[in-house]
Amino acid sequence: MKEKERSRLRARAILVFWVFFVVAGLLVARLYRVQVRDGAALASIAVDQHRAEYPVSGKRGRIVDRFGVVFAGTSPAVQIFAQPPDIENAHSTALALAPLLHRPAPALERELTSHSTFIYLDRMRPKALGDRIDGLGLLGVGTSDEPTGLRVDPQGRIGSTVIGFTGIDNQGLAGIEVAFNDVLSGKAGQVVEETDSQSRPLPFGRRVVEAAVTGDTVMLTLDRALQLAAEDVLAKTAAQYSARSASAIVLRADTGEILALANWPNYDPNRYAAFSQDSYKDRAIADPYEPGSTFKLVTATAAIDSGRVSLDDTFPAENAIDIGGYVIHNADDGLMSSGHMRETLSDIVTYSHNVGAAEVAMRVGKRTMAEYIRRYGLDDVTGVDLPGESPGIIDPPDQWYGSRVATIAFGQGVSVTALSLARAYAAIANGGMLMRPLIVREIVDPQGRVVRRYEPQIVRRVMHPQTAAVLLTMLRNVVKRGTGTNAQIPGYAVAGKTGTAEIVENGQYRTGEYVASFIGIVPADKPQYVVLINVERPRGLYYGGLVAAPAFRELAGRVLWREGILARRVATEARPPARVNTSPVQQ
Amino acid sequence: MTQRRAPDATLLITAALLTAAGAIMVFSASSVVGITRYHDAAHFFKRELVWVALGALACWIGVKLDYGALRRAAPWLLGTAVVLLVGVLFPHFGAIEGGARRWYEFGSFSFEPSEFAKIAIIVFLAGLLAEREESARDFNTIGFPALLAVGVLFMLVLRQPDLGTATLFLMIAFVMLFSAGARLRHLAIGIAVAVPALLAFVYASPYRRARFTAFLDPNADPKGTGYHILQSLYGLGSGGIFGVGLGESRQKFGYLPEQYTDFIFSVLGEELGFIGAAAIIVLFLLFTYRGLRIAMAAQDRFGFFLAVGITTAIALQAFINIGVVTSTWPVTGVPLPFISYGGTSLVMSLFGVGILASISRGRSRAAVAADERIRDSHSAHPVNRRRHGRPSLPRAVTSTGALRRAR
Repeated sequence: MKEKERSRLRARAILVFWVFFVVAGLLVARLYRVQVRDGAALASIAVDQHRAEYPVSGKRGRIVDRFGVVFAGTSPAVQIFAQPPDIENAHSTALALAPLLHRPAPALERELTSHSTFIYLDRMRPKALGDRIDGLGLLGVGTSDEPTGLRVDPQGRIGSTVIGFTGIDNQGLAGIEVAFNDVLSGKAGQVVEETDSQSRPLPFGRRVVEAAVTGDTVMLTLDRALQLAAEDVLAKTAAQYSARSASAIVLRADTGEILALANWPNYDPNRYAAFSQDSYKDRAIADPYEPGSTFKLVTATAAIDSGRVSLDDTFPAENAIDIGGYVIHNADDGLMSSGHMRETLSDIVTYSHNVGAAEVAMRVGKRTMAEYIRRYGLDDVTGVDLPGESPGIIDPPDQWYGSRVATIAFGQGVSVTALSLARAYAAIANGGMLMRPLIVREIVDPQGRVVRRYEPQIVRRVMHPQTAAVLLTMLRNVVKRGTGTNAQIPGYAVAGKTGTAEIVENGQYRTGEYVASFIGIVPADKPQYVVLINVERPRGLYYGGLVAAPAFRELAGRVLWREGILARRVATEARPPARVNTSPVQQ
Repeated sequence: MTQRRAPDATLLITAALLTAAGAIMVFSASSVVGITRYHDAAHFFKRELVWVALGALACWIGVKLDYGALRRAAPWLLGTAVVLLVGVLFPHFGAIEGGARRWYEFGSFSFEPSEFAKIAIIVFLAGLLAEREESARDFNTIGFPALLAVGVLFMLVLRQPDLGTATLFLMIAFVMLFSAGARLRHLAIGIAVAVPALLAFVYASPYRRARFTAFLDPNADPKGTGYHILQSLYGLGSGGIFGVGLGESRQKFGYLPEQYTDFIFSVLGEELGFIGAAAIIVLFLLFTYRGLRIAMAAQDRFGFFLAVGITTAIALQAFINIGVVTSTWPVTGVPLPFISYGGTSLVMSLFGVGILASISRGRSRAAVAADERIRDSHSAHPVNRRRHGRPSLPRAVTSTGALRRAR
C-alpha cells in the first residue's frame, strides 16, 4: 500500500472508532440515567413485584371429650399443584398422577396442558400422599404444606351433630366448630417473602414470618363412651321402629353437664358433603316438639309447690271430660283406670291420666301454671353453648282461652326442646335447683394451661326441696307400677315419665304420627343422672312406655355401669319385666 | 520480515475478560432456569464452559492461521454459508425456537448458521474491497457484487426470520464500504433505501410493530409487548450504582425473559450495578479501539478490511444489544458477544478475535510472496474478459462460479 492510501484508510478507521466512542458514551449516559438517576424508582417497582404478602391461618385447636379423647383434630396435610409451563410431558405426568389422585388421566392431562401458570390439582390431602408425589420427581408438579392442616374427626359419626364440621377454609360451619370458632381458630400470622414470577418463594430470599398461634383446645363435658352408647341405642331403636328421627340426652343433675347428646340420623364430619343437611341437625336443641305426658311433671310441680293441691286431694276418675265444648280423653294404653272412682295426683301421674291432669291444672289456674313453666325455663332457651338452640314455644297465659290450660296440663299446645325438658327433670333430681346445661368443661391453650373453666351455674330454684322429693316419689311409682314399667333396671331405683304425643304439623295434629318419649332419673334413691329418649314417628308401636322406655333402660343401664354405681343385690320392684342386662356395653 | 510478531496482548486480554465475565454471568443468570427445568443450576454453565473451550481452540487456530489464506477460501466460505442458511429453513434440519428456524441441533448442542455467515461475508467483502485502491468508489466492479452477496445473505436470514441479525449484515457491509472509501452519495442512497424499507418491513408485521411501539411507550402494555423492556429496566434500576451483588439478581427468577441470552446485560447490571455495566461497555470500547488499531497497522488492504469488519461486527452487536437492554433503541434479538449464552456466537466471536490477533502478527514474507504469484497469474484476466465481450465482469463473480462448482 502507498502511504497516501494508508493514511486515507487510517482516517476512516479513526472516524469509525469515534462513532463507536460516541455510541458507547451515549450508552453509558443512558445506563447512568436508568441505574443511578431513576434507579430507586425502578427498584421500588421491582421490589413490589417480587414481594408477596399472605396470611397464614393458625392451626386449629382440638375438640376433646371430658377425658381428652379427640373428637376433632388437625393432621398435617398438603396441597398438590402443577405449573403447566414447566411440565415436560403432560401425558406421562397425568398417567403417573392419576392413580394417586384417584382421577382419570385424560381429565388430568387436560388440566396439565392448560394455559394457566399455576393450578391446584388437589388440596387437603394427607402428607404421606404428598411425599409419594414428591418422590416421583415430576417436573412442574409440586406439593406444599397446607398451612391450616387437615381437619379430621377420628370419632366419625359419634357425636357428629354436636361437634359439627369445618369448610375448606377451616372455618367452623356447624356445632361446636362454629360456636367456638374463635377459640379454636387461633390467631392468623403473616408471611412477607420474595417470590419468583410464578409466586414460588425464592431460595435464600428474604422472608419475614409473623408466626400464627395455634387455637385452643375445647374440652367438652361429653363422655365419648356414653355418647357412643347413646348413638348405639338410638340407631337400634330407630331401626327397630323405622322411626323418622330420634334423640337422646344424658345429663348430670347436680352440675348440668351434658354427658351425651345424640341425634339420629347423624353424619360423618370427615365427609359431610356426602350427607343431607337434615342429618347435620342437633334436633335435641333445635327442634321444639309437643312433649305430651312428660309435661305432666310441670302440672304436678305447680300443683304441689303452690300448695293448691295436696297429696290427699282426690279428683273424679273419668275417661273423658267436656271443657267448654272440648272433650278430653285418656289415652288407651291399657293403664287407663286405677279402678277407683276418684284418684290422687300421684295416681294421675303414675297412670298418666289426661283427664285427671286437666282437672288438676284447672284447679291450679293458668297464672300459676304459666309461672312454673317459666321457672323451669321451658319458655326460653337453656343457654347451652351450642349453635341453633330454639326456645320453647309457649303462648303467654293471657292468650290461653277456653280449654287451653287443661290441654297444656298434659303437654298439648306447648312445644319445648328435648334439652330444656331433660333439664327440668334434672331440677327435680337436684332438689329443685335448675342448672344451666354445660357442653364445655374447659378451654385449654396449646401449652396445656386451662384458659377458662366452665363452672356449674345455678339458674334458679324452681320449687321447694320437699316438692322435689314428693315428685321423685311419684316418678318412681310410674316405673314401679305405672306406664313406665319397661324402664325398670334390676338392682336400681328408677324414676321417670313416659310421653306419647301426637305430632303437630302446620298447626294440625297428624293422626297416627307420634313422638314416643321417656325421661328418667337414675339412681332414684340418690338421684344423679337424667336420661332422655325421644323417638319420632315410630311405626308399629308408638307408646312412650313401649318404644322409648326400653331404650331408656338400656342407655340408663350403661350410664350406671359407666359411672360405677353398683346395683343393690335384691330386686324388689313390683313387676320384674325384662331380663337382666348383664353386659350393657357390648352389643 | 521473516518472522511474525507477537499477537496483540491487550486485545486478547480484553476478549478473555469479557468471556470470563460472560461465563460467570451465564452461571448466575441461567441457574434458575437450569434448576427448574433440568434440576441442575449449572446445566447451562457446564455447556457454556464447553463452548468456551471450543472458542479458545477457535481463537488459537485464528492466531496461528495466515489470514491471507482466508482470502483464498472466501468463495468457499460464502458458498458454505449460503448452503447452511438455505438448509436451516427446511424443517428436516432446522430446529424451531420462538417461532423461528435458526438452528441446527446436535443433541443438546446447537449451531447457528447465521453466525458463521457473518464471518463469511466479512471475509468475502474484505477480499473484494482489497482488490485495489479506493475500490468501493467503483460501483460496477466492487459495490455491486458486494451488495449482491450481502443481499442474498440478508434475505436468507430474514426468512428465518431474524431481522436483528439480517440488519446487522447490512450495517457491517455499510461500515466496511465506508472504510473502503465508498462515495458518500452511494452510501446516502443506500441509507435512503434501506431505512424506509426496514421500517415498512417492521410495520408490515404486527408483532414487530408491537415491539417497536413498545419501545416508544413500554407502559402502554406492561404485561404484553412492553414486558421485556420494563423488566429489563426494573433489573437495571435495582442494581443502582454498586449492584445487588453477584448471584443476587431477583429479576432472573422468571421475571426477566431471555435472562441468560439476549437480556443477560440486564442481569449483569442488576448484580454488578452501574459500575459493572459501564465497565463492560468500556471493555467493548477498548476492544473496538484495539481492533481498529490492528486494522490501521495491517500490512495489506485485506488485513485492514478484515480487521475493520470483525471489529465492527462485534462492536455493533455489543452496542445494539446494550442499547436494547437499556431501552435506548427498539428491541431486536441480537446476543451480546462473549457474554450471552450461545455457543456459535461465542465460538465465532473468539475465532474473530483470533483472526484479529493474527492480523496483528503481520504476515511472513513467504506468505506475501505466494500471494503475489497468485495475483500475477490473474493479471491476464481483464484481457480475456474483454475478448468475451464482458469487460467489467468482476472477479467476485468468477468466485461465484467456483462456488457453483463446489455445490
